[in-house]
Amino acid sequence: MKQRVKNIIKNTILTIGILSAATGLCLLLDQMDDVQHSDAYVSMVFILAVFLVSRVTSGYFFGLAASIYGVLVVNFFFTFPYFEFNFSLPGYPIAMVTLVSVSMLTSMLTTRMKRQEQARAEAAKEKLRSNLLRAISHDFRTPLTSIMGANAMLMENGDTLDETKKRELHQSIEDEAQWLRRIVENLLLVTRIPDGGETKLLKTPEAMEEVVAAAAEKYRSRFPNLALIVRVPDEVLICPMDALLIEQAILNLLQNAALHAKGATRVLLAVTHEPKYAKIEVQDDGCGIRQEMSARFLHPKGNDRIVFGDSTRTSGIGLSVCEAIVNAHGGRFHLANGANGGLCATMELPLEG
Amino acid sequence: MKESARILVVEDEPGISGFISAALQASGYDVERAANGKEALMMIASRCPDAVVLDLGLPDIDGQKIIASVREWSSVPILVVSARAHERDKIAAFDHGADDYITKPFSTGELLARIKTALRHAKEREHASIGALKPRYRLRLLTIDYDKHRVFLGSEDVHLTQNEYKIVELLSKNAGRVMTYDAIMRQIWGPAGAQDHQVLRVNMANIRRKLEKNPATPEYIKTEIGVGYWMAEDE
Repeated sequence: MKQRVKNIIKNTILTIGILSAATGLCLLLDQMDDVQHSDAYVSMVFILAVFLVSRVTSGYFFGLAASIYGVLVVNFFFTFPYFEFNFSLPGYPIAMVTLVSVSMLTSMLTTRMKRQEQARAEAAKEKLRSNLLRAISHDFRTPLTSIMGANAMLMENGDTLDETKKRELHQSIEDEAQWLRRIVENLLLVTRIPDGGETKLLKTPEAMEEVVAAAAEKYRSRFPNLALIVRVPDEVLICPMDALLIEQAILNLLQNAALHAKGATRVLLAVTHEPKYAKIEVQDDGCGIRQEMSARFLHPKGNDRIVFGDSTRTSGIGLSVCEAIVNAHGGRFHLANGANGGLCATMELPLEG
Repeated sequence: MKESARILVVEDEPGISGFISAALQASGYDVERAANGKEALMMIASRCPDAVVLDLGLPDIDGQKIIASVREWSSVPILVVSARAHERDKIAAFDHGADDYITKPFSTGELLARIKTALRHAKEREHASIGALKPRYRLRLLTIDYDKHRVFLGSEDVHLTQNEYKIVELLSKNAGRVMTYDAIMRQIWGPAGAQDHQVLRVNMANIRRKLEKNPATPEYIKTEIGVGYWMAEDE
């Protein structure tokens, strides 16, 4: 409610400001100029003023009010007889209808344009949200089911199970809990990605090698079995970024390789210096993805299952989050199969300056 | 050495408090528990534990305030265990004087390792306070000689600029403990210098190029993203 009142006050001030400026300008020009020519530019000035009002205020109301004001002011001040209203001049109705309709059309068009822009931003925001929610509800249910099932087995049949079976159940609880942990990590970070509203990405200049090193260290402690090779250039690359988000994006790509790249023997994480960009590549030598699937990785629909090589498993939310993070930084993200058949994920982030 | 140090676990969630206590007891520690901030402050003052495991989200007093007020009169190691993962919470905790910050969820193995480290640090500090300052830091190939202000990799003399040396000295004297960017900047460049972290980043990149085999997999100086730097502990 408070916001609405503030909005109305702001719009009113803007409208009055622009219209007074236009009126003032016309009066000034009228003083200096030959009276005969005034009509021509007066109409133009008011069309411009109405256009501006419609552009900077929200909704139709202020644009319409401005156009009506324009018509009356032109009639009152700038057409003969001066300083009184007269709607019976020859040719006047046509001129007035033209001014009103031009003003109103401009007003409506700009309003509609703004609405469309807003709708597009909303839609993009919604898409990320709904993708996430869909992935989450699925990705939460599955591990929770396993954890509850395995735990119930241990509690109810603990005495009759042999050691191997018990260990298996404990391991499955651990694995599924780790899976949940990865999802939650991503969820928490997503709240830091701006959604087009007032929130802004908090970027500070960071050395890319530090962020890469931090992600690599986390990866190594979680997945000691798939070897990781890290390469960074000799020069220090500084990119403005939210370092925690970029670290998570890199970690997601590394974890994807460890979890989904069948047959992989190593992962390569390489940073290179491109003109104006730092390029980060995560490449494995596993089974790769089917080419037509790469779009679906990023924008899963409904019950899409994502196909890695010949196996089926959801990708979780990792890749959509990577893309959202990179986009929020004004960078580029894409997936393709590398020369060795493995998956190669590329993030390009703008360098500082 | 027999581990019979006394640890105070401050945590309002009975489930988490229970499993932390069980893990600590299984490793031979004596455990006491507090479920809120008031109780915690009272017990730290009256029972003098050897280390405190502290949750930040307590029902009565914010954990950050507890760290600050304990630090006014005690140097007992404080390990924060928190579900808050934002870097500003970590920075605040370290700047208030926490010794370590562990984000939930964590494994018991990780927690035990960090408690061990914190207890060892406390013992070293005690030694240092009676005048037994270590003359050097040594880890694998790296040696820092505090008397001569020199750094060696194996037998090779590493040439650091004055500021680079100061950073390395500061981090190594606090090895195993995260130093926030601001804390480092204040110590090296003075209170006015703590504005722009970029000069520190560039210095660090240069240090790593001189000390580390691969700056992207550092062995000696690690980064806590968004928070600060810490040096691996010496041997």
